[in-house]
Amino acid sequence: MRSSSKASIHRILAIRLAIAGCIISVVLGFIVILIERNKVGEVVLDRALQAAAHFNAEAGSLLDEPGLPDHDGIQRILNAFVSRGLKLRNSRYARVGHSIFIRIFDLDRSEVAKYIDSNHENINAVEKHIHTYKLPLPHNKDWYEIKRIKGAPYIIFGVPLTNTSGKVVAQVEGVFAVSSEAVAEVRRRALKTALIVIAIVLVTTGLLYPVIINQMSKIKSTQLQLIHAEKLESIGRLVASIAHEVKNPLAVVQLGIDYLSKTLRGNKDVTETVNDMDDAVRRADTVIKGLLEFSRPTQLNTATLDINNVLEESLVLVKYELTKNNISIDKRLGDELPKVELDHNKMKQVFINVFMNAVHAMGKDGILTVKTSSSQLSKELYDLHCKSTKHFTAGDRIVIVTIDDTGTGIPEDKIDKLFEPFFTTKPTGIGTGLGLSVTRNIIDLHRAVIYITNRETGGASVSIIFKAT
Amino acid sequence: MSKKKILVVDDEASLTRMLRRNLEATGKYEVKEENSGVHAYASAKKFQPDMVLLDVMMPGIDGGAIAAQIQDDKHLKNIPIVFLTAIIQKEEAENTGSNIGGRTFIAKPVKLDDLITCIENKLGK
Repeated sequence: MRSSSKASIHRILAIRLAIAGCIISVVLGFIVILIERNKVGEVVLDRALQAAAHFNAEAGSLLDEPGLPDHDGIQRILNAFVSRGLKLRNSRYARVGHSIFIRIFDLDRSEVAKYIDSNHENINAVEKHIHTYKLPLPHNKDWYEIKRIKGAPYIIFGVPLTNTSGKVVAQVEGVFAVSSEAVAEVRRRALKTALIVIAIVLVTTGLLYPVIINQMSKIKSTQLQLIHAEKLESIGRLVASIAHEVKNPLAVVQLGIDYLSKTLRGNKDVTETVNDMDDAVRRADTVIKGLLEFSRPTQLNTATLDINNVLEESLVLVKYELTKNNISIDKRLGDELPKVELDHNKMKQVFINVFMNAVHAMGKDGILTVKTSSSQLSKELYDLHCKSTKHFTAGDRIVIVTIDDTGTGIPEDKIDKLFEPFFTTKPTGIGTGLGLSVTRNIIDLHRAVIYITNRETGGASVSIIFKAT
Repeated sequence: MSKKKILVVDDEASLTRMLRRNLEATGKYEVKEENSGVHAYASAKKFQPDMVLLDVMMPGIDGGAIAAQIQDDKHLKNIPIVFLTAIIQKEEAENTGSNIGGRTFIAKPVKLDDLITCIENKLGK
């Protein structure tokens, strides 16, 4: 895969990952806040019911006598109950619990004792609430409801008081409430916990970022390769079928032209017409040839060769085109390059293709620069162009061929599409859009890499990296 | 000099017609067209050609199977066969015919001059 499309995939993945990280952090933070908030209510409820149970145990024996104990006795028990309930103050939520209003009723629903902790800021509002709850007597079961005032939870509860025989003789009704200060503290605690969770998520994401990006990039790259391969396969089948169907009528036309050229010899116009038809058949056949070469999996017939020789031979074959267009050649071929495993004919086809593209890009007048060199594959070059092929390792001995032209260059948004089948920047009728696809197929078969960049000084630069033998 | 007999087998009637017209125009060949692969062997037995030009992909039977039938016949087995086909490229076969796996192939579309050179090579001029 080309480096620019890889960079773009990395950018997209990085953005997606960052968004996913933020969403996960915020959701987790929100969950933590909810859990912490609900904990306040749970703690208050738990303490209130525990205190009520304790009250019942303490008071049970006193309640065996007929009638309720005297007011002082009841008050003493009530105070013990309250102090039990207020042990909340020693709990994790130190200032959460405020036992603010507790009353004891006899079976006639006459109030026989009460306790008020008037420190609570919302005492009036809560007291008003408690008066609206008048449980029927006798009430045999513990009962409670959780309410909120300005976001602060409070528990309204009712506990039947029974004697040792289990007979209900009175009822405790009360409120355990939470101050807004306590709620604020809980919120601070929740926020702190949420921030810690968010930080952990973000730090973990950050630490795993290279691994995740690498893996996601690999998956994306594999997907693209699969799509590319599937596309090629289906195009290949289509092309092979079309080529076969077109070549038969072409053969008829070709033989018809040959017949006419022999039987109608002598007439200038007829000869010209027949020659034009002959040329048209040749061009049609060339297009089909390109299609088939692109679509057909090709076996290589390789030998260990000097790349400079193959380049020289290819240049000879395009010399006429270069001279015709007044294009000069600047050859900078490296000395004593390592040999490379090449299919001689296929590689000539690659070079001719690249040269002819350069000629078309330059038009009249220009310089075609052909360079070869050998070096160790740098980490930067490996990361940019070779990593996805898996045929190279950073540090490999490589041979690089670079072919520069002085043409118009390639629009940046088109560079990634150059190797796609049927993509061409040439005018209609000049290019089939298959030349570079065929070229890349051949390069892939050689386990080499080809990439195209724009030169800073203008024009395009085609580079091919081979592994040295 | 007697004309050499060439059997042309291809399911494309316009192609066999064109081949016949071109080859007969040279005055050197007598051409019989056969557009049914299934009947190609019978035509060869009846026509007793000096050479067979054979398409590869045809409905019912392919060129390879027809060639096998001809080569299994003791009276026909020495007749040279040239496969005229659209399934190979000119680069894979020389213009005037290539030996691929012991068989001679010419890629469609073929130019008449190249075809005649191939035929002459096969027939030993």
